[in-house]
Amino acid sequence: MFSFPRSVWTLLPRMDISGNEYRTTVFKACRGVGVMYGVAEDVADACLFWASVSLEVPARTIGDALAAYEASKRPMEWSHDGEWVICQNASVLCDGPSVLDLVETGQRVRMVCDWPELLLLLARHRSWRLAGGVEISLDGIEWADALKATVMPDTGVLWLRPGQGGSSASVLSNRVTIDPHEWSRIKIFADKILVPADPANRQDAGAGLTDND
Amino acid sequence: MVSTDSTSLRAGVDRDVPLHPQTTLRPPSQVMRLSRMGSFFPTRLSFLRSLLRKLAEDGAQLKRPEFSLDGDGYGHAVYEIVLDGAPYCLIAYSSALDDEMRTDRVIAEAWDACFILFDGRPNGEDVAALRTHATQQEAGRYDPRVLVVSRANKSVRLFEHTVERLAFGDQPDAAMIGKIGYLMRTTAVYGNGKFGMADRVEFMNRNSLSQPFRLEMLTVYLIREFTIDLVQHVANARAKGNAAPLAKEFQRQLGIGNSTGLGMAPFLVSHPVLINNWMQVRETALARVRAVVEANPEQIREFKELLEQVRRHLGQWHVDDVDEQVRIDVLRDEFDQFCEIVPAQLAAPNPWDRLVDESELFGLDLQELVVALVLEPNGALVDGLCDCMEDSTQIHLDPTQSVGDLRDMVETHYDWVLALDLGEADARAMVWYVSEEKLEPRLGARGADSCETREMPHHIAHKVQALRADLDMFEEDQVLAVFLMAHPEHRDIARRIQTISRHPYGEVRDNLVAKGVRPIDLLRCKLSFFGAAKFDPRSDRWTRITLFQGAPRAAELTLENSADVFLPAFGLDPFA
Repeated sequence: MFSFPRSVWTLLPRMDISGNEYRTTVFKACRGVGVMYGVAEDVADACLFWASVSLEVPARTIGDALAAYEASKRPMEWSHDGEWVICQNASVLCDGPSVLDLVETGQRVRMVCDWPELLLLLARHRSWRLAGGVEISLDGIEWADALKATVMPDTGVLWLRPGQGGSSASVLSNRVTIDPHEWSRIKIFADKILVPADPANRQDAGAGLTDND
Repeated sequence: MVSTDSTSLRAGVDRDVPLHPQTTLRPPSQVMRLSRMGSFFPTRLSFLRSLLRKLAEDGAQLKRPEFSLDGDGYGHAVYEIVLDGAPYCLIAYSSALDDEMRTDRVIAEAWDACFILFDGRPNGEDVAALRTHATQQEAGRYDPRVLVVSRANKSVRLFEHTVERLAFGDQPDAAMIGKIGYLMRTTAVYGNGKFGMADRVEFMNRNSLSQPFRLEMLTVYLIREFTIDLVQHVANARAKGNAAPLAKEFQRQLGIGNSTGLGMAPFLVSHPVLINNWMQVRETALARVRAVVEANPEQIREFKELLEQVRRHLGQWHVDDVDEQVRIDVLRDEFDQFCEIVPAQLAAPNPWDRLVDESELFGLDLQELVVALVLEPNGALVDGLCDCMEDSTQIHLDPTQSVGDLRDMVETHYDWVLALDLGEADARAMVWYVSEEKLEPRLGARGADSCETREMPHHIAHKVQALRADLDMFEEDQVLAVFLMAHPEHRDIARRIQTISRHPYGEVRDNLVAKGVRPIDLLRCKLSFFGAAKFDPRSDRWTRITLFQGAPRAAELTLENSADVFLPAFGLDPFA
C-alpha cells in the first residue's frame, strides 16, 4: 500500500471540520460497513482523539480498514499459554476493543491482526487504563514513533505498557483538518446507513409535505 | 420522607455549604415512562427560562446594527447581544418563497428566512459570504465562528393579516393572534459542530453559555425579535411610513412557532447521561420544594395568581387533533377540581408536598402540570440547579467488572425489561431509521429489508434481554472482558447498563420499537425542557409548539417579568 511520508501530508489540500462532525461520521462509517455498534463507538472516540491532536493517520487508516472490513472479518483464534494471551488472525474492527479489554484487566497480550495501526490507535487512546501490556506486530508502520511507543529492535514488535506517555483521553482541539479525499471516502461509508427514499417510507416521518397556514 | 442527603448532586459541592433539605426523589420507574414524559410541561428550569433570567441578570442590551430589507421584507438584518463581555450576532436572511415550496420537513430546499448565530461581530464580507451557505442550510459549509444555523417559515395567514392591518392603521385580529401565536416557525435549529460549525465543547466553558441549548435558545429569542421587526417593517413600507405600531400586548403574545418531528426523539436515547442530568435536576428541584415546611404569604399570593393564569392558558389551548383536544378538555376539568382543594393545602404544613400528593389522584397531565406549578414560587430554592444540567462525562466500559455484577445491574436497573414479553411480533413491530433524504429520521413497520438492516439501536429492551441470556452462560466471577471476547456484539449494551447504573434517569423505560409506540411523548419531554408550550400534535410523531410566547421583548426584559413566559394567558380567548 502506498502512503505519503508525514512531511508531504502537510502540503496537501486540507479540509477543516468540527470534532463532533468527525467523530459522528467515523461512527456512522463503521456502522455503514457493518461494524458492531459498541466497537464503532470505541473506534470513533479513538479516531477523534488522534485527529484532534493533529495526527494525520486516523482518517487514512480508518478509511483503508473500513474498505477492507467485509473481506477481513473473521473469527479470531486465541489461546492462553500461562503468561500471554495469544491472539491470531484478528480483525481489529471485530475484536480490537475486546482484546484491549483483556489488557485492561491486567492480561499480557500478543496479537497479530489485520490493522495493527488501528489497534495501536485504540490502545493508546486508553493506555492510561491499561493494566497489562500488549505486543503488536508492527510490520513497517512508519509513524509508530508519533505515538511514543516502544519498538523492540530485535523483534520488530511494539510493546505498549501502562504509563508509557499515556494520553489523558481528552480531546485537545475540537477542529480536525483532513485530506478532503479521505473525508469523502469516510462519508461514502457513512452514507451506507441511510435508507433509500421512496414514496412509502416518505410517510414514515409522520408529517405532510406542505405547510401553509 | 425528608432528608438532607443529595448524593446525586453532591459531587464537587463544597462540603461546608449546607445542602437543602429534600424529600425522596420520585424513582426512575415512575418518572421515566413514556406516558408520563409525554405529559411534561415547561418549568422554570427549562432552557429558555434560564436564558431569560441570564439576559435579565446581565442587563444584556440588544442592538440592531444592520437592517437592510426591501419593502417586501427581503434582504438581511443583523442583531447583536453581548453576554459576559462577548458579542454574539444573529444574521437573518429573508427571501421570497413560493407556497408550494413551503414545507416544515427537513426535506425542504428553501425557506422564508434563514439564520446564523455568529461568534463575534461579522463584517460585510462575512454577511455576504455566509448568505450562500445559510440559505442552503444543511448543504452549506460553516466555520467555527458560526455557532448555530436555523431557518423559519412564515405563518402566511397571520403574517399577511398583520401587515395588512398595521398598514391600514389598525391592529391585527386578537383572535387570530391568539389562535396561531407566531409570525414564523423554525423548522430546524442546528448546533454543536454540524456542517463544520463550532462544537459545543468549544464554548461550553464560557460561563454564560455552559447550560444545554443556551445558544439555540438565544437564537430563537433573537429570531422572535426579527419576526416582529420584520412584520412592522413591511407594514411601514406598504403604508409609506404611516403604519400603526404593533401593540405591545400583541408583541408579547407572538412567540416563535416550531415544527418538530422524529429527529428529536433519538437524542433522548443516545444521550443517557445528559438526559439523566435534566431529569435528576427536575426531580431534585421537586424534592426540595416538597420538603418546604411552610409557604410564605408572597408565595401563596403568587401561586393563586398562577392558578388563575394557568386556568386561562388551558382555556386558550386548542388543537385540531380530536384525541389531543379531548385530553386537554379532561385536563381543564381536573385542573378546576384541583384548584378547589388548593387553599386548604396551602395553609397546612408542607403545602407543596401536599399539593403534589393530591395531584396523584388525577391523570398524568395534571400531575406533571402541578410539578411545574409548585416549582414556580420557589425559584430561590431551585434555579441554581440549572447549572447541573449539562454533561461533559466521557462514558467508558469497565471490562474488569464481573459477569455477576453486570447481571445484578440488569436486575436492578432493567427489571422493567425482564418483565417484558418480547417474543411477540408486536414487541418488535417498528424500526427507526434515517432516510437518505436529507438525513430525515423515520419510524416504519419492520419488514422492509432496506430499513431493518440499517436500524437505529433503539431496541434497548431487546438488547438487554439478549445480553442477559448470554450472561447466564458464564460464571458469576468471570470478568466482563472475557465475556466480551466471546460476545463482542454486547459491548454497547454492557457499556450502557454500566452507565445507567450511575445515571438511572437516563433510560426511557418502555419498549421503543413496540407496536403503538408514541414518539410524540419523547418529543414533548424534550421540548418541555426547552420551555415549549401549547403542544399541537399533527400526528403521533410530529408536533407544533410555540417558544417564548408571553416573553418580554429584549428591550423590556427584567428578572421579574422573565417569568411571564410560563404558560401565559392573554386578553381574549380566541375560541370563546
